[in-house]
Amino acid sequence: MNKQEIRLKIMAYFDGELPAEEHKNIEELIKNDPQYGEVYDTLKRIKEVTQEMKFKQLPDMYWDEYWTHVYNRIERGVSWILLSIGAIIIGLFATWHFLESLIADSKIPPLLKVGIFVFLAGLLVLLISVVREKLMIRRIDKYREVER
Amino acid sequence: MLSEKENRAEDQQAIIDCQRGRTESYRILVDKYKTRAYYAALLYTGNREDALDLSQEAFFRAFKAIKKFEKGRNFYTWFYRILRNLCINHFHRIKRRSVVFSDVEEQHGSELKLPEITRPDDIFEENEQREILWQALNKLPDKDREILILKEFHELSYKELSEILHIPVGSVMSRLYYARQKLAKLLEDLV
Repeated sequence: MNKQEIRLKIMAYFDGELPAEEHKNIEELIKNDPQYGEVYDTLKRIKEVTQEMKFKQLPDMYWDEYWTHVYNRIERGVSWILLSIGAIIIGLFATWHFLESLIADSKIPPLLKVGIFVFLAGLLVLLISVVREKLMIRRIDKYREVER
Repeated sequence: MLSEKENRAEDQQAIIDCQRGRTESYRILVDKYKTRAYYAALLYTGNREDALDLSQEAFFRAFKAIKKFEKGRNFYTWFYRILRNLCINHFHRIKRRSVVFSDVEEQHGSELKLPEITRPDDIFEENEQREILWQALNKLPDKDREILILKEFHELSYKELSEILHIPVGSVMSRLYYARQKLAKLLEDLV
């Protein structure tokens, strides 16, 4: 074991993460070798300072309402999903009816009908392209969990 | 008090229930981890309102993603990564805003107000060591500060740190060791 490994083991011992069978060895090193005793004392000093720090208590009312706030967000999230699905269905239905009546209406000039079809086709391709790009980025972006 | 194994089993059961659509079971997880989540966010944001908002938002996002939760994982370390990302984004937003303000302030020759993240008053109770420790922590590189906060204030195990930081346990130990040495040196210089 080199010096660095011993230092890390002393820290693991201090943090209660060293297997019990290694305790005796490390305790002896701390006791008998001043350089390792110093490592242990440094860890103790830091712990003393950090343990003295107490988080400011949050008034009880915030804790009492905590779950309600989380639940409200969950509920709102579900509402948005339902709202979006509903909007898509209504949109598709309206577009279908619009196109049906457009084709059936003999008063509308054929050129205008073609124009509307081309416009809608362009809109559809654009939508597919954007969705596909978003999905591809999502698949390959390792930072997708990080909101930008 | 539940043992580590019972604790883990309780979390797993609550997660399975949530994955089956029982929202009410999520309350078990929220009630169990809300304090840790709030104080974790508080150390990133430095103020109560943002810490409450971000920790609640993290619970909401974790719920949305709960179907993707892999069985056997530690819920808190998984949740903590969501919370951490939210807090980092929040911090970057503040930083961007303060840069915009600093341009304006410089033009008018007045002093730039530091973001609240640098003040410990809203986080810790009044204490002699508070200012010194906070100053020392702020002088450390971000990676060292983060691992120290997770270890010293949240008392996470090496394994939990490894899961949160996505580094092997050996790297956790050496990063933590050097961070503690640097902190000890800074504390000595500041006292």
